[in-house]
Parts: sequence; structure tokens; C-alpha cells
Amino acid sequence: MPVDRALHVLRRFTFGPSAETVAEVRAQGVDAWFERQLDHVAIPDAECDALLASHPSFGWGQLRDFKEIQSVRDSLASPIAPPDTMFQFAKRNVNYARRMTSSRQVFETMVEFWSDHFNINDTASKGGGLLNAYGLDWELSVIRGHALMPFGQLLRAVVYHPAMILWLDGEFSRKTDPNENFARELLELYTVTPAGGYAQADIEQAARLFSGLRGPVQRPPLVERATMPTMYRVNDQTFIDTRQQHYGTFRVMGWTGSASRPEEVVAAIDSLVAYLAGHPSTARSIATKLARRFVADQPGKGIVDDLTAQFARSGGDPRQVLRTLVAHGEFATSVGRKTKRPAEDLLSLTRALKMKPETSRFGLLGRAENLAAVNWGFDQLLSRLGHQHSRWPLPDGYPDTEEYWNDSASHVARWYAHQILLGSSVVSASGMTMPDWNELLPPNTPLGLVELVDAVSARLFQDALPAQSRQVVIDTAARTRPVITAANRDSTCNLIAFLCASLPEWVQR
Amino acid sequence: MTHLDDRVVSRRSFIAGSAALGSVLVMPSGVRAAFGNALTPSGTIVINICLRGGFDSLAAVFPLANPELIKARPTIAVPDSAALSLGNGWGMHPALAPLLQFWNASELAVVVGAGAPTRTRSHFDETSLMARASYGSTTLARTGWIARANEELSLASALQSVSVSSSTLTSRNGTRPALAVGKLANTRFPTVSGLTNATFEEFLGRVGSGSSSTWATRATATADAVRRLEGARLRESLVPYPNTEFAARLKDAAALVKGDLGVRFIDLDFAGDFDLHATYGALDNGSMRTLLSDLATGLAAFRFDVGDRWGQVVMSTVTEFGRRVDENASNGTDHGWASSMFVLGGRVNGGRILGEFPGLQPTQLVDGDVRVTTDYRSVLGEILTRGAGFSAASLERIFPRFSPRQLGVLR
Repeated sequence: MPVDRALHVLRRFTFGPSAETVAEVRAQGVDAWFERQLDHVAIPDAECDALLASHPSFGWGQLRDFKEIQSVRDSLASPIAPPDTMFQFAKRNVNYARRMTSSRQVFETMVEFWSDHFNINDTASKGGGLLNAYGLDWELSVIRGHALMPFGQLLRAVVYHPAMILWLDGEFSRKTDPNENFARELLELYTVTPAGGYAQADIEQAARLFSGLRGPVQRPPLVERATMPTMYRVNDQTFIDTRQQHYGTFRVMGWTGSASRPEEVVAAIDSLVAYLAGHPSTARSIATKLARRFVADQPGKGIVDDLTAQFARSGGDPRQVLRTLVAHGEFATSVGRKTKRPAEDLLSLTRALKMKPETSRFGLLGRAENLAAVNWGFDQLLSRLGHQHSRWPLPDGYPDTEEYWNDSASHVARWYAHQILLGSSVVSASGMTMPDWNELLPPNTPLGLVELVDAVSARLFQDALPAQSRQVVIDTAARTRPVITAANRDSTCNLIAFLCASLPEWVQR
Repeated sequence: MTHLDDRVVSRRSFIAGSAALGSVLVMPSGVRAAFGNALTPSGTIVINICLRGGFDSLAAVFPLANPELIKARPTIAVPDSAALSLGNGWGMHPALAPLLQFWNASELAVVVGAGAPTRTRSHFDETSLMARASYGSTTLARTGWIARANEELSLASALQSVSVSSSTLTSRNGTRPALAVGKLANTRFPTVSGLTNATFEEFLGRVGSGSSSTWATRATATADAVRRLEGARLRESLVPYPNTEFAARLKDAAALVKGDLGVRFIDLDFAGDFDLHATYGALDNGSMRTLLSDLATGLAAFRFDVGDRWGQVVMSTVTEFGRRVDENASNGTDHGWASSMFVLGGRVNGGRILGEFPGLQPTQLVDGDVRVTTDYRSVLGEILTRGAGFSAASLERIFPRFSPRQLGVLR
């Protein structure tokens, strides 16, 4: 499908274009709009803010102090779900709501990108449920706090965050037996990748340097580390266990550091983080991933080279790299070369048809009288599709190629999810409002099938369908709904939307 | 299915394409005459059953008259007097009585001392590693072994590999079966008012025929698979199954086996959690008895249901780890290392204990755990090669850098 630049940029850098966002980009001009998006804090976000303020978890995300986490956990004592499950629900559901409604869409796409890059599976039962509680602050202060910041700053926040320390077994690390999990993934996944040419000895050296890093709570039994004299305080929530910290000289790839006291350990970690963030192999690995996310499953060498160079030149500034990407010729010619993953599919449907979280379902988190509200329908649909936020089991994040997602199970699950979202017999199973066709159809749209197909598909695609696909939708709808009346107009529109969402054009991103 | 339509032709062409896998299985004569020449080795159906939570093999199949076991488990050990004897000094939990028929018919083998090369005692780590079946380097394989086996088959139909389990797709740890059906009843065409299954399938077919898109091609293939599954679902089994979730999954699996759908792999989770850190309960009631009984009664019903297809089926159980030998202070057990694997089917070289039992004396244990003497991949590898006709080269890609032992689990 030929697509203009405005629509192309919207498909790649938002969770789905709508008539309103297309109009906005056309009015501002693509480059001006994109530039404005990169300064996300300056963009008013009233609708999203209001929605989040209505959520019972509003404010939880700022829980950094363990006492605050504990008091929320206590207040959540619920007969239907343990408090740590509530933290997971809160994190996921608020994330979906932001992606659906936020005006800061480029920022949200980068939040998703880094959430995958530094994937933490909240449901892993690590730390007796603490990981779930830390996960809220992880998303807010690490991922959201640095999504458009230079990579070195993001990486530093990652290294010291208790969620990462717990997730990759730092809590089990010992001076004499350093746990290698985090050190390995730091090199293999987060920075230089195997292309960087490190060896097992480099992993072991890094693991020794990180051996004392700890979160704010030791368990069991539950002891606040802030009260323990053997703990050196790095910040509010991160400590170095001086009994388990390895001291000495550390050599990781081309970097050398040494430490004989805790404060020198912090300086050495900071120095190693800066070295890895600035390594040419890191530049290439992040550039390749960004190109895979925003350009094509198998991006060409040309654009990867250019993004790598920009990453290095800008000190790992993602805004500079994204500017280069959007202006690149290979980006311009990449229309149709990305496929929506399940969350992008469902979110783009809700955005195109202006469906909103059904507040009575979305807003009741944790209240014992309504189990359905705890399991918000939209999250359940993504569970069926295997693409819930922060639930990929491994540290490497959800795959970002069509090959992975294009299996039969996914097709069946997408049919089901589209059916539920577009008005099934199971009312409110989606936890979303239904499309309001009075608002979505142009005024005075005739009750003719062709007119409805054109109007509905225009809403969904913001573009004309190819003739062949349009004809198949018209023929199928005609056979299913031979007579259209005012009474069945809305269900006919839902049927047409369902068929459109089953077209290969719909999954193109 | 006796008519020769395009589905039969495509199935035949698939069989022809897979004949190179080598002929091992001899089918009982007269089975499905319409596919007479189709039931070649590729007719073997491998069923992988995950016993999640860490299966306590010492509660299920154990050495009799073993003083270390009685001493280590003063409250939870099955007394010799209550055990079902398997001969040669081995006993079985009485709740597993329905498995005796398999044992006596030499259709059940128990591989003792089986497990993973790693010993982390972590559900999360071992489950994840076991799904990938790749050890030593995290870069070795990030996909699941079933996904890699699917690649070796170059699946002609989504129905050739089916997952029947409650878990979400991600819990397969990157193992993306071609079709995950949770419950057979959930794998269906969408119910959009007025849109018939046939109309929707025709819609996808028309879209696909005019498109070079891999997405549209897969949609068409999916509709084909779902339509055929509808047929399998309609042939409701008359065999009585116990009223358990595991039995319901096995009933779905039996429908797939009997449905002539070309199914090669079925992956399913046992519906129960073997992670009993506390309160095993007594021999005749309680948690462990219920779990073992669900396992055995379900398998017995399945075997009855599949009838003469039993010769096509090879079932094996895996678990992320066994349990500590010593019981804990809560009448349960904690995470350990080696467990046992059950291998069942008409072609199984059964009625015997396979592998080496590493012993339960303190010096024979590793931190209180039973030592692994047989890598579980050796068992799966033999089922894949000798049972399902995979080549040795294929097996090397499915289980990278692993040299399987031959245990003789299949006849």
C-alpha cells in the first residue's frame, strides 16, 4: 500500500494512527511533529493524566522507600490476590493505558523499546514478591526516567536498581562465589553483545566487581539494609554489602579498575558502565536493535552503519539516533516491512476506533468485590496472545520479528481478541468501551455496504484499501449482512472492522 | 475421512516429503485404510508431558527395603508393605496402580536418575533451560527445543505440532509450537454475528490468494487447521475420563491422535503442581496421592481412548528437578536434582527400570540431592530418532553440543 511519510512515521512511532493524530502531523509537518515529540515533557497530556489519576494505583510508582512499599502492600491485603500480584496488575494496566491515550507517543514507543532491551519478568517469584514491588519504580525511574536520555545514564540507572539486582541474582552473589548472571547479560545482551569479543574471564571479573550490590531489603528474615552497619549506602535503595564485596583490580575487555573500599567500588562500576556504554560494539548493537524496531526485521547495513556512527558521535543520545533514522532513505522505503506485534495490533485498534478503558473495569484494581476488575479484560487478551507487558520470561525481551509472531496460535488468538474488542457476546470482556459509530462515521453516511466499508476502513487505515482487499471485504460483508438497517448498522460496522483487522494490511506497521 | 479431497492430497504429499526421515514404525494393520500408505514412521506421535513443580520420583517409584529412604523420610516414605512391587527390588506408590497394566504389558519404562546437567534448584531457571534444552552458554539457543524440532520437520501444517496446556504462550520460554490450543474447545473460528466459519475461511483464502504476504499465507493455513480441528472436536470421545483438568487435556490429545490430522508433537502440562514443600498427606488421601492418582488415571483413560493408535504414541514425562531426599520439617520436600522419567507407549521397551540409580547413601548424594546419571535429553533424543525418525544431524540441531546415550527405551 503506498503510504505517505506522515502516515509511515505515525505507524512506526505511535501505537497506531488515528484521524486526530494524522490531522495533527499534517498540520504541524512531519519533522516539526517528530521534533516536538522528542521533547516529550513539554507535550501536554491531560487525557492520559486524568485516566491514570483515576486508577487506584496512582502514586504507587513513586514508591522508592521500602517502608512505603510495605505500607501499600499492607493496605492491599486482599482475599483474592496477593499484594504483589496487584503490583503487577498496576504496572501492566497503567502501561497499556499510557500507550493507548498518551500524546507522548514517540516517548512511549521508546519506553517499550527499553522495556524489551532490559526485560524484567515481573512474575518471576524472586525475592519473595519484592521484584513485583520494585517493578513499579523500575519502570518509572529507570525506563521512563531515561527513555530518551543518553544510553550511559540509562545503563547506570539499570545497574544500580534493586529490580535488576534481584532479577539477575545479584542478591545471591558472594565474595567467594560471585553470581555471573548479571555480568553475563550486561555484556551479552545489554551492551557489547558477543560481537564485542569478550571472554568468560571478562564475565567473571565483572561479576566480582558487582558481587556486593544489594537492594534495600534483606530477606528472609526481612531486614532493612539501611539499618545494617555492614551495608554501604549507594543511594536510597541500593547498598553494597561490605562482607560480600570483592576488592582488588578488575579487568573487563579493555577496561581496568580497582577498588579497596566501597566508595571506590561505586567509582569503578560507574567507570565500567561508561566504558561499556561508549564501546563501539554497544553502539552497533543498539543501533541494530533500533533499526529492527523502527525500520525492518532485517535492516540494511547502510542504515545500521549510519545509526551506529550517530550513536557514537552523540554519546549514545537516542534522540539524535532517531532523528537520523527518520531522515534516512532506508526508513522512507521501508513501508510495509514491519509487522505489528500483538500489543501493537490491539492498541492500534483501540486508538483508531477511539475505544477507551472502561473505567468501571479499569479503575477497580484490587477491590475484593470485583474479581473481573482485577483481571482487566485488555490484559487478559494480551495474556492469550503471549504479549503482556513485562512478562517475557527471559532477559532478552520479546522478539521483534514477524517470523516469531506469525504462527497459527497467534492467528487464532488475534481473531479472538478482535472479536472480543469489536463487540462479542461477552460484553465488557475486553474492559474497553465499544466503538461509537455515531462519532466515528462521517455525518450522514448512507446505510450502504460500500459506503460503510469505505468509512470504517478509512478510520482503521487512515488510507484507502487496495482494490482487491476492499472488494473481498465488501463481498464477505454482503454475504453475511444482506440487509443493512439503522438497527444493525453498528454491528455491521463492527463486522466490517473485524474483517479489515483480518487483512494482512492491518498487521503492517 | 474416506473421501479424497485436497486435504488428503496435501497430507499425502507431506508424507512423501517426510519419507526421508526413515522407516522405523510398523503400524498395526488395517488402521485407517484411507491412509494406508501414509502411516509410515512419520505416523509416530511424540507426547511430551511436563510435570511442573519438581516431581518427587522417590515418592512414585523407589527402591524397596531401602534403609536410607526410610530414615530420610520418617513420615512421608511409602512403607514397603503398602508399595506395589515392580520386581527387582523396586516399588511404586499405590496411587499409581492404574500404571501397573502398562508395566505388566511392558509398555512403561521408568528412567531413574534422570535430570538436567545443571543443578540450580530454581524452578524458573531449570524450567527455562529445559524448554530450551541448551546448556553451557546462554547464546547457544534462545528458542525452545520443540520449536527447533518443528524447524527440522519444516511443518507442512500447523497441526503437526500442538501444545495442549494451560500456560500462556510466553511460558513456553520461546518454544512456539505451531499451534497452541490451550483447550481444544478454545481453538476455533471467531464468533462474529452472522459470519459463518466457511465464509470467514473463504475470505481468508481470497485474501491470501491475491497476496504474497507471509501473514496472509499463515492465516489461510491456520483456517485449514482450525476447520480440521473442529472435525476432531465433533467426534466426541465416549471413553470415560476422570474428572480432572489433566484428563481433559489428555482427552484433547487423544482427539488429536485419533483425528488423522497429521499431528507429530503434542506438548502438554500436567495440571497440578508437584512443588510440595509441605503436607504430602497420607497414602490414601492428601496432596501427593491426589497428584499421582490424577497422573495415573488420566494416562490409563488416554490409552484406552486411543485404542489401536497406542502403537503410534510415545509419551514421556519431564520435570525441572526432583526433590531433596530428606523430608523437611513440614512433611514435604525441598528442591533437589535427579528425578525419574516415565516413558509409555505401544513401542516402549517397558516393564523395566532404565538408567542407573545413583543410590541414596550420604556419599552418593550431592548436597542431599539424588545425583543425575542420565541427561533427560538422552531419553528425548532416542524417542526423536528411533521413535519419530529424526536423523542424527537433526538431533544435533535440536540439542546442540549434546551427545545422547542410547538407553533402549524403545523396542
